[in-house]
Amino acid sequence: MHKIKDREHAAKEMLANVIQKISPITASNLKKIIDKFEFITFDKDAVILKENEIPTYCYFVAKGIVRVYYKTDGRQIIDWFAEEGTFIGNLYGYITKSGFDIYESIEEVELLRATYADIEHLLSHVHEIERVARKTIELYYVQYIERSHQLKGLSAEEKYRLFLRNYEKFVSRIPLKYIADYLGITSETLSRIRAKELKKKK
Amino acid sequence: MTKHSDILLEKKAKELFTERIAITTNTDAAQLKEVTDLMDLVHYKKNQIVINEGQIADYFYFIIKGLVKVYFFKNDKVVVERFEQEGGLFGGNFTHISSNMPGKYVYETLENTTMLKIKYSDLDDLCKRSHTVERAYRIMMEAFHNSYVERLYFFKSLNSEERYQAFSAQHGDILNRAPLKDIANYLGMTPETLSRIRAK
Repeated sequence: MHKIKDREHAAKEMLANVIQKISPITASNLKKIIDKFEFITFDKDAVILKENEIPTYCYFVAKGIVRVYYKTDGRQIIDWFAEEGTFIGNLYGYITKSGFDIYESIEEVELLRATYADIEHLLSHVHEIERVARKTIELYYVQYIERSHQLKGLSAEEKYRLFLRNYEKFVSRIPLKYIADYLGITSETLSRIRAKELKKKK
Repeated sequence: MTKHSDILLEKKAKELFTERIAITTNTDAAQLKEVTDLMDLVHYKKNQIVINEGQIADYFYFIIKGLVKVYFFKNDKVVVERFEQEGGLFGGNFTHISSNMPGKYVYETLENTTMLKIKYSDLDDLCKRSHTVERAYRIMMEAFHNSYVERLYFFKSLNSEERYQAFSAQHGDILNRAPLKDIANYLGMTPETLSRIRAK
């Protein structure tokens, strides 16, 4: 077990690398961003953002996987899985004071979080940081369309294969029930598809 | 259309665009002049393709008047992804981010359509010079992203009849402007089912 300080340091290093990859930034501006983030851990199956809670924090996942989902008619629909190295945020929800997403850990997670108020302050004062935000949002917009909206018009089997491609590295860590909720199919249908895929491989 | 009326129309179009962006992003309208200076007015006839499958979208488009159908092919079948009407923005396939991006969607007019277009690379250069423009663009991207999330929410959580109700409440005029088969396709139902629901 590493000391908490070491884990925090590793998380911040990871965040710095992710930011630099999205948009090159000077060391002093990078530090301004990193300094706004605090380290926080959650157990497995912990609720990080409750239903209908107005988002206050932007999160960065340093370790573990978080599922982002919402509830409708007693069903839960998983919007996406946030894995290591990704941001979970809803700046729009913060601005419009609305939110329907729930964030819940599916493993023990280590996160960094910063308040939207702090982020907003940085964005409006430092152009280079605004640029990082712009590039990040473009990237997430593109990924979101790629991952989610492409599901439209696909059969259950095609959806599953697309999921395997998109979440290749993480798929073994995501419970089957959640995969079914993400794909909008029943657990039974998913089992059937998986059995078929397995046969093909043999 | 004469040249003179086109100049007037372009001026009016840029005012509309400025107003929309200024309100959405809470930006001083005067500061957006640098953006509109880079925009050109373009006209497309009904049923023309603006961006084709396989094409890299170099431009963003802002619709002044008209209606555009956004679709893709899945096993040679058309899947209507959305409609964009007056005030709508589309394009910019972000090939600098993901090389898989070009080629998936077709943007086709369903009516005679007038738009303003801006080259993505010009906008990107301007963003480097102007914090205000970069900020306004970032907020627009957030609004885009959010509308995608909401659209997906709508599709995953509602049944076909509820989807029709929600669509007609939000975009009732598109129901009268787009072909029935395109609307049925978008809502994920057969034209017969859509006719039945509409009759109710």
